Amino acid sequence: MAKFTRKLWVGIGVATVASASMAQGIGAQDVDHDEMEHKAHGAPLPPALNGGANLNSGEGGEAYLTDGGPTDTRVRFYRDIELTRGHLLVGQQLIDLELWDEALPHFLHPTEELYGLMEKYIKLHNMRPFGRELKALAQTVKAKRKGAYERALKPVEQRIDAALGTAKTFMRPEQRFVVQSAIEVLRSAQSEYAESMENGVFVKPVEYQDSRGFVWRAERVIEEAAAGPPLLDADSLAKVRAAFGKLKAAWPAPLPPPKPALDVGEMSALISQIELHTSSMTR
Amino acid sequence: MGAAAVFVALAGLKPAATIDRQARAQSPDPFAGLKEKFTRPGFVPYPADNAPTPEKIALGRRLFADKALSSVGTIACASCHDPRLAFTDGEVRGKGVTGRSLARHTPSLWNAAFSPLLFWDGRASSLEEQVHFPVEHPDEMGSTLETAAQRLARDESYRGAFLAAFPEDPEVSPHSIAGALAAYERTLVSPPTRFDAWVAGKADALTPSEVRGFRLFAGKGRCISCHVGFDFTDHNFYDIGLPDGDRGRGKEIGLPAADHAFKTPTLRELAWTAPYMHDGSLATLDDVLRHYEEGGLDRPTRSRDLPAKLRLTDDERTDLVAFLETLSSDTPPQPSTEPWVAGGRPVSPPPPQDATVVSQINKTFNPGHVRLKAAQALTVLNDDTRTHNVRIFDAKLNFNSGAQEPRESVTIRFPQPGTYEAFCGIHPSMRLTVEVK
Repeated sequence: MAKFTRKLWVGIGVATVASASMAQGIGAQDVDHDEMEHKAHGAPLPPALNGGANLNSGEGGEAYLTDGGPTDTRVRFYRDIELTRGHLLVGQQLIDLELWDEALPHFLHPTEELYGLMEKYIKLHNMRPFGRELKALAQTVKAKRKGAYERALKPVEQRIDAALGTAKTFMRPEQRFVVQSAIEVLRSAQSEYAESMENGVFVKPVEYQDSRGFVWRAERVIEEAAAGPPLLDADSLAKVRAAFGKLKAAWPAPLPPPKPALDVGEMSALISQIELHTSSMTR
Repeated sequence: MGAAAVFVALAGLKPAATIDRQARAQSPDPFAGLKEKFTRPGFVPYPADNAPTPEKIALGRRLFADKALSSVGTIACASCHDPRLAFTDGEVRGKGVTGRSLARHTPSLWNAAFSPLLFWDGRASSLEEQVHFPVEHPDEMGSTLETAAQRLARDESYRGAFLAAFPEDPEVSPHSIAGALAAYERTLVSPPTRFDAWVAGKADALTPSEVRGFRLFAGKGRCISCHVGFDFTDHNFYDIGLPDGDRGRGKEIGLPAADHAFKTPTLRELAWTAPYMHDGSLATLDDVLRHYEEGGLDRPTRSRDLPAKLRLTDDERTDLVAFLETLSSDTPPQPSTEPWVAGGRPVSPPPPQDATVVSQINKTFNPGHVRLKAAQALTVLNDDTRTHNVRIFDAKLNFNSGAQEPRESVTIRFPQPGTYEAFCGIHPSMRLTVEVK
């Protein structure tokens, strides 16, 4: 998987506006989040927080703050969970096609690139770890054993669900954080999609697959959020769904097509539409 | 020396890994006594007639991965004991050459060198003997060691490997195949984990939650009743109330009191060896805890070592699982490379005592080695809280006491001078050597 490089795709002004307003909202949320966490654990605020220099210090967020991604650790954590799930999802799709060797990177990347970032947060909040479970799952893929793979997936899913359950207790209102995280997942997908191509041709199938898994997960997350309290009107929801329909056409199958169905600019526009039409949930 | 003698002797030897006694003297460790029970051994036992050598181990490793041992060349030992999956297969029940599901879940091979009896029902008394069963089972490898030997002997590179491994008797034979495989399997010692560092004196090797989990393991949960020793098994057999009709150890030794009893599995590398139990019916450690909390089937053979009612809070459950996971490597486990693993050591039994009464207590025979005069009888008294058994399977004497309840005794008369090895069929780690003049 490519690093989480942030690329700015010019031409969609609304995205910039939406991002800017979201960033303000996130900054405000950080204070609440830290206070809530430290009250919950009965611990004094760490010195850095007392000074107000870094709102995320001491609560497991600092490791996150080096990759240019979201500054709110709640969003960051949820994003990384969903990126992990995206890897597992596309890995599953490849296994369903008996493409075990193609699938393997998607079971190694969560431990090699994501879990280490999440680990501090997991420890801080006494979540049950799942790094070893992810590694055990990857081993079953190396061994190409379907039955073992299916059994090893279960504890991974259970622990991710449990971790997310804990993480969501710090997300109020939950929908805002969930949707913000999904938008971040889409941005990662866009970045991976761009990485997968050179001169208009797919050259890195793993990155293509990464982006597929991420988009599929982001769609599911937004659909689940939309099923909650009605913050999204029917018209906006229809537009979000339409944008996802067009977006997903870029990945007709787990293996890359001969020619890209969307260029990166078109993809960026569609993601911006999704961001715009879900903005009622992220305010 | 027989395997039995080797394992009797193990109990009397001190482990190489020692706790930092000086540090403990300065600051008393409340777990010191318990930690002693879990210190790593300093050698791997082996029978005197099959000493390990690098060449023999290398041959065993090669054979372990070779499908030529099966009837149709499709199944190797490693097919079910996959090194990538911590020498298990991740299946509820594996499949062999016929494609039919096998009767029981593939057991872990970790620390098999330390096990006096092999298989879930303990039907093999040494790793050398164990080799025959999967190779010759019609649903597993469906062949014979004789056939495999003939096949391997046609391969020049194998002939060279057998010559290097067995220079005094280089014939490719069932005996040498079994010897090489057993020598390799004895190297499958689970590597040290954070728990071992904690036992050795590194106080911060475990988190507070993990230490609380250990306290539960040794206390309220009573897990330690059966999962004890560096490999977290007492090598005995228990009915833990799993609801299947498999008679297990009871069928193997013809003792209804041992029905549904299966060997205590090691807890080492647990995180890498799911699913669990002899039937592979429990998918996760949480499922295992739930089973013990619910208690399983209440039937006459259900072990009295199980807690009658185990009620854990959510936090306790989390702590206990956190502790159990400290027994596993953080990355896919590889056999230990500690220097003592390759060395091995044949050992002698402790000296005998002149006694005509032996007690069965805390799952041991006490004393464990007695000497009788000619015509003297031996009385074995069950001073324990659980059902025991005395079994002698010897050309000179075939004796089976049947179920021996607490406070019951049995008197044994030996037909002729010689050395007899007795064991409890239910708790085979209980070994008694009887010398009759």
